[in-house]
Amino acid sequence: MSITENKTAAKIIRRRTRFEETWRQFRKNQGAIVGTTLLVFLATLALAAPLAAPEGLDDQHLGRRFQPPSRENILGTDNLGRDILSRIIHGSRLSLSIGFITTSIGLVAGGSLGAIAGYYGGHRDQVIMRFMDIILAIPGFIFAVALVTALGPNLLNLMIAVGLNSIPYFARIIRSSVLSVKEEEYIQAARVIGCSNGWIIARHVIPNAFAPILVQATLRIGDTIIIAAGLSFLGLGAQPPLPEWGAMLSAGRQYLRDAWWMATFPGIAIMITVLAFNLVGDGLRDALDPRLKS
Amino acid sequence: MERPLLEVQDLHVHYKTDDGTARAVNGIDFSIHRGETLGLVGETGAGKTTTALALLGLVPHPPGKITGGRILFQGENLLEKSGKELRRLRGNRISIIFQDPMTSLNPLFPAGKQIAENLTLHQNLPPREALKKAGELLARVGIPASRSGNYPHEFSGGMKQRVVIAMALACNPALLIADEPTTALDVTIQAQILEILRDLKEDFGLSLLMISHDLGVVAEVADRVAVMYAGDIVETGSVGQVFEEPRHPYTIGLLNSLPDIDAPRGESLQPITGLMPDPMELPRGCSFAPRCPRVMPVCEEQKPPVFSPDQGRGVRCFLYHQTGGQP
Repeated sequence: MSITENKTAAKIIRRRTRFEETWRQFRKNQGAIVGTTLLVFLATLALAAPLAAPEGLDDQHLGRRFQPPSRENILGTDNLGRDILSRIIHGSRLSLSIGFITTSIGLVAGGSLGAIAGYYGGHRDQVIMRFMDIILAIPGFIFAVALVTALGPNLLNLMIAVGLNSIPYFARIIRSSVLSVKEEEYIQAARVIGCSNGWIIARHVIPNAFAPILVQATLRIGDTIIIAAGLSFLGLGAQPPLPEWGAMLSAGRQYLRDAWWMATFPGIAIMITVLAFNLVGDGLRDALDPRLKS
Repeated sequence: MERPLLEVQDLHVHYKTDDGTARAVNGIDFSIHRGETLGLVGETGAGKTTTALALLGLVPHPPGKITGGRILFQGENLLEKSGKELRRLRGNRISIIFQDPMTSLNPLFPAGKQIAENLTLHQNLPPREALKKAGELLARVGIPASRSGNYPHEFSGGMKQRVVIAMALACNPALLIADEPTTALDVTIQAQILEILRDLKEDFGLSLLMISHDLGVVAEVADRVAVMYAGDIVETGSVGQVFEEPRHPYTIGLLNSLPDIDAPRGESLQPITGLMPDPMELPRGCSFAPRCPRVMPVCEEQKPPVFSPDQGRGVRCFLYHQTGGQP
């Protein structure tokens, strides 16, 4: 017993934490690495926007309207002579924070509802989940349009609308992971040593249900950025002169024949950001899925 | 004689399902004295685990419900206690070890921390002291305290069961319920775990309720035995009485169906014919009557009361009606 056990013990003393294990899997996925790099780049750009952008977000030079991409204005200028690259860089702050804030609203509210529904079951489950079904029955975009129209078109209301729209997605995914985790014997064991329900949910259930939540949140940020840009495109979100990408796209739409760069580059910015979040989300899903582990 | 630590009187537990009511536990009585080990044996589905959950107030409700009886723990009826009072008791005065150590530890927290959780919960120990005590408890069950920072997946099955035992004993409980504690382990590890349980029982002055379908395990550790069949306790007695001279036809059948290493070659095992009755449709009389080789007309009419053919023994069987048992 002693020799083999010592060997195994030596081998497992240097343990891999769950984080290290996930990172190891994640690293193998090239798409995920590209996504992460893009995200780090975007986040740095957003944080350092005033330094990184060549010009201010609203510096107008009416003498150089509709300039095509050139050495001076790499992505061209718009109808008011503003540098599009600078506006996109400033706008990354808006898009990223919209994505994070709306997803957080959905995560916290949907997560709590889903955890309650899944853990307690019964009537609470029925009431909460049927209500979620009602929200899901309305197409997400139309739901958000209706809500923003009712509340008034501005950035805050846009975030509320998109955030509310995310709640059912989180409620569903968290409910289902809580359902499977709560049947685990260590949950019963926690009950047996006298833990209260709230404590069990917070400390034993949620941490064990965390992987799918993280994946869903990452993927959801991409979705919310698209919905928010779409609403802004319709004039229901950020109002001019805010450099929100969707709003910039909308402003460029009418000049599309003469100044294609006005609408194209904000669109590409949206695409790259959403793609980055999706790549990272997919990578996380693969890395955290125990069935895919070798 | 002092009052038993735990007295269960006429306990009934039913599960209500769409197909009917499953009568899982039907009026069982037993008691455990301080420092005593009671072995509760029976087949799968006899109601052993339901009994254990009832003691902790954890019968899943719905569908389960304790429909009658009393559970007196240190003289107080647990069935009259509030959820909060029961929570204070669980893990603190009464602990349980489950069958499968692989799944009874939370995979995300180190072993020491999980033991410490119990201590912070019930004894208000500051986290650092709790962790220190967790290390000592690990050492008590034969795991170096230095491994208290290891995660459950870094332990083998037997070691996990030791961690679970350390967790159960953290608050110095008066009663430890061990629900098939060795079933998921291989035989050599089983012996180690039983050894540990026996040692700890002495050191901590525990009373132990050992639930098992493994007669060998029970014979090894128990002082007294209760044999459960279809939600009834059909026979109780000391280990010697029950295993040497079984009285109830079910116990006799059970022991005859065990392989015996000294039996002549070629002799076949003696199974009990038939299956345990469906708890939804228990027979009106004795629940063992349909399978009993010595069944009498009265058995199918009436449920037998407990007779006591010898000192310290109880048998739920009409065969002992004449032999001086009280009706």
